[in-house]
Amino acid sequence: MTLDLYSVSVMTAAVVLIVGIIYISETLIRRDEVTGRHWSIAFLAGILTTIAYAIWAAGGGWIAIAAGNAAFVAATGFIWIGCRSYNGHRIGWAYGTVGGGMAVAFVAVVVEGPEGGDWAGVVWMYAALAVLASFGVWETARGRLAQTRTTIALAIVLVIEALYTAARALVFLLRGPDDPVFQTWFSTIPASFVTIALVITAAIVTSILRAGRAGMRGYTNLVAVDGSDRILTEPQFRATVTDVLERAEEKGIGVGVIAMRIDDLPFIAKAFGNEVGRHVAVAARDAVRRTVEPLAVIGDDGATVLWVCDTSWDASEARRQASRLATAVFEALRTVPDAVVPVVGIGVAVTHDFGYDAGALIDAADAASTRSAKTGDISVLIAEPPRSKPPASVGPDAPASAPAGS
Amino acid sequence: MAVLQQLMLAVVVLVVTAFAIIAAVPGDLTLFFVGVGMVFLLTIVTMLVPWNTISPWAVGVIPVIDIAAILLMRVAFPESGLALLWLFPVMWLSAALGLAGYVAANLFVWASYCWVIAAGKQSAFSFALLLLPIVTLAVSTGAYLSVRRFAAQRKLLDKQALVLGQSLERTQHQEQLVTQVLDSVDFGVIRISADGRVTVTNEAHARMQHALISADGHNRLPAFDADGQTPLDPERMPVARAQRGEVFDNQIVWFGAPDTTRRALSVTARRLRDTQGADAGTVVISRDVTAERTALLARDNVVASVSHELRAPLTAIVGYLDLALETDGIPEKVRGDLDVATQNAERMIQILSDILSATSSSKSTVDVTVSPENVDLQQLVLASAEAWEPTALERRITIFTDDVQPTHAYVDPARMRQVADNLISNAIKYGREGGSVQLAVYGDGVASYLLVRDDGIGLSPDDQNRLFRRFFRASTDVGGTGLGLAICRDIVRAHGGEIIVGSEQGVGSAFLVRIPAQVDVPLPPIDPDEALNMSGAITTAGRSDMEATG
Repeated sequence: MTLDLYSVSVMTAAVVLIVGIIYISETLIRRDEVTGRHWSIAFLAGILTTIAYAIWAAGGGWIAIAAGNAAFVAATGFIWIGCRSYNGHRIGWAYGTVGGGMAVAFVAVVVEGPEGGDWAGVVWMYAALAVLASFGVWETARGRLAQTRTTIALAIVLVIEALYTAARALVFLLRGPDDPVFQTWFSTIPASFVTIALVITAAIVTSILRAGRAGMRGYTNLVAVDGSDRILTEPQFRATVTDVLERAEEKGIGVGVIAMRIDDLPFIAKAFGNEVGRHVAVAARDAVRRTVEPLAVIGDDGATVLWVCDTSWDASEARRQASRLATAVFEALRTVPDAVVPVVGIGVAVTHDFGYDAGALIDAADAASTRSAKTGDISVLIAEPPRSKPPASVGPDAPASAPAGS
Repeated sequence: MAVLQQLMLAVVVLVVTAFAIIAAVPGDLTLFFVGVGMVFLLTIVTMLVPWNTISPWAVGVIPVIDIAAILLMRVAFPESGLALLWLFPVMWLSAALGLAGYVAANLFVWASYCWVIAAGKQSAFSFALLLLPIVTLAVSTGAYLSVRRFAAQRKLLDKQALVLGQSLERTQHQEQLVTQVLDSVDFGVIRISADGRVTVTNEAHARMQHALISADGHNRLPAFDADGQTPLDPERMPVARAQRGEVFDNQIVWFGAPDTTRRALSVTARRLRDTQGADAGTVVISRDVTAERTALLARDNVVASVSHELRAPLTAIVGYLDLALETDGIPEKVRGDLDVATQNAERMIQILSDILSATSSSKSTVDVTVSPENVDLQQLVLASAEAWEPTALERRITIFTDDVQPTHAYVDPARMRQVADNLISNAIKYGREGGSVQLAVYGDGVASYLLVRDDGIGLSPDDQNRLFRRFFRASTDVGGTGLGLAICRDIVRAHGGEIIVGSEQGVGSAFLVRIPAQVDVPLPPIDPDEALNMSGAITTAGRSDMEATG
């Protein structure tokens, strides 16, 4: 297989650009998070490196080589800094170290000046890269990164980079750039393959690691991955409620489900920004968590509805709980800065009316919350028992629907 | 925000750079690269700086450096039109830093541009030359104005939110208060909205509903009318009536079959009006009156049995008095005394039978048997008036009989006389001393009417409601058993007729008796107000139609 330098350079540039742009774009749609930000900078530096080398190849000045080398160092350096921040280590001196490495790579080219040619100051860059990549390997081997198997791939790639650049520096120093050994193993074409492998692996691993850290930007998918707010997802919630109902039915204990919906959330996110929408959602969730009984089951549908399920509830107790919840949520929402207080619909359904069927109970509470949000004047609505249950609906004195003032 | 904007610019610059390299545009690549590098470096710095924690003016540095970087790129490629990229930083400056940013951005761009033009070798005049500063100005003005407007709207919105929040809080507290109050009272409250939906219930209501569930825990106890015997149609149930928009007072409903443990509810429905006076639905209030009702029944039973026990010895007394009177040779003085004793004993028997007839069954209405015949109502009433004349004179009351017209009625003469006597004696008893009692008799061929009107103290609306209950007495100053009117009504109803009362306190009362004029011609229903109006008995007097509550 014969590969020419130009094609390989273009391919490398394409890979770096595409991977970099994808990674950085994801930064925009994910919640702001310091580790992801550092890795984004690494990819940004990678893109700058590509531009610099392309400019140099297109006939730009030696300053392009200097900037390209510094950016190359920054790319590896910021991967390392991202790892440090992932592990929760201090990063102040790491900035200094990377800055120093960049300066060395830059100055090394400047010193050789316009006459330096393709390989000006390259050894210094190799040295900086080898050192920073080694730091990166060391960082992946400890702390929380060491507990994640995903990291192994990143560690291997960084080991390869450290060893390869070190070897490259050695061969360059000992034999010079024209030596056949250097040409075969350490010239631009083989180095490009190493670069491509490094970029792709790093992008995949850091993407996975970041996905575990930062949820999507905005109000949806608020369930913290590290479990700090233990609100169940919809399938988890439904499964838990089914279990609760099964056990409650055997003992004849009443169970109730409250559904709380904030349908205005998407509009708040649109009008005031995703972060404000997120704050509103978080405030509501926190208020719910703090208000309900400690053992109550809380779940959400990943969008605008939160559910609470608790035992020992008859209709009036459920109504009391829901009223308390409404007040607490309202108080919490009022304190969210830069936002308006959204309409909150709260619906309640109890087993006394709907029997011990999780689906029916949750759906009834949902429907009641929708109606509650629409009527506006009453913040808590008790779900209507189904019409097909004759005894409850025979007497007009027993109103089928009993919404309550809250 | 700054990070996103800067990243956007970096992407644009990246595209431009790729184009410049691939298309090999003639120009100073090194200088161009310095500009590109500045943009990228600035992007990296932007991502590292915690903008929230430093002065908002610091953000202004980013677009300024961007302008310089774009200037370098523009100088490197004079023909490229790259100066258009200035629109980005100019917009950000105008939006982020207000008027100062707007002015500074324009001045900076214009100065840079003039310098580029002056230093460049371009021809002095071209459209492109003029276009850029004008477009920059227009775009930055637009950005500045819309941001300013947005900021003002935002400020207003914040204030509105504050006001709204406070009033919402107040409302919530009030709502809470109302709920707590409603939940702490012991009568059931239901609110029915104008469209017939039940919107509010309180805890007492829920408790009552719970108490009405039968022992098997599923079915509701059957409902009965006030007499405790007649099953109640679903559409006659109080909530159903209220949902149809009816307004009523103290409808009694019994729950549970007779001879089982049962409960009685007294239900009232009132119309609600909103602030504009429009219909705001109905509030239905229900009270558990089981104890009250049970006590009434117990009293009736006691009275009935006592009366019954008294009647036997009294009958014996009268019998022996008669025997004594028939004995020859008793002195005239003793005969006179025995006569008085006989009269009083007979009067007592009459009272006892009145009491018994009012309480003889557990039902609310007296079992009155009547034997109707064609009766000259005029004669009957005139005779009664004559009989009461002496009593009226004692209180200096004049009885006017001018309006007693020749009228026939199909009634039991003895019973009807009882009714006339009762109404006239009541009018005299409760009339004003020195006042008048007006009698009127008239008919329309189908119904015959007897109107008795006084100019006495009148009745309060409350008293009017209770007037026909057994043992009710409007005034304890005047003697009586409180049974007269109840019996009157029972007699009139037994004829298929009705007694209607109208009264105003301080003006007087009027009783209108409506009875059939002919045999087998049932009376059509009539609105009590209308009947009283036609009779001329009321002018402004209040009225109450008597629900069967006894």
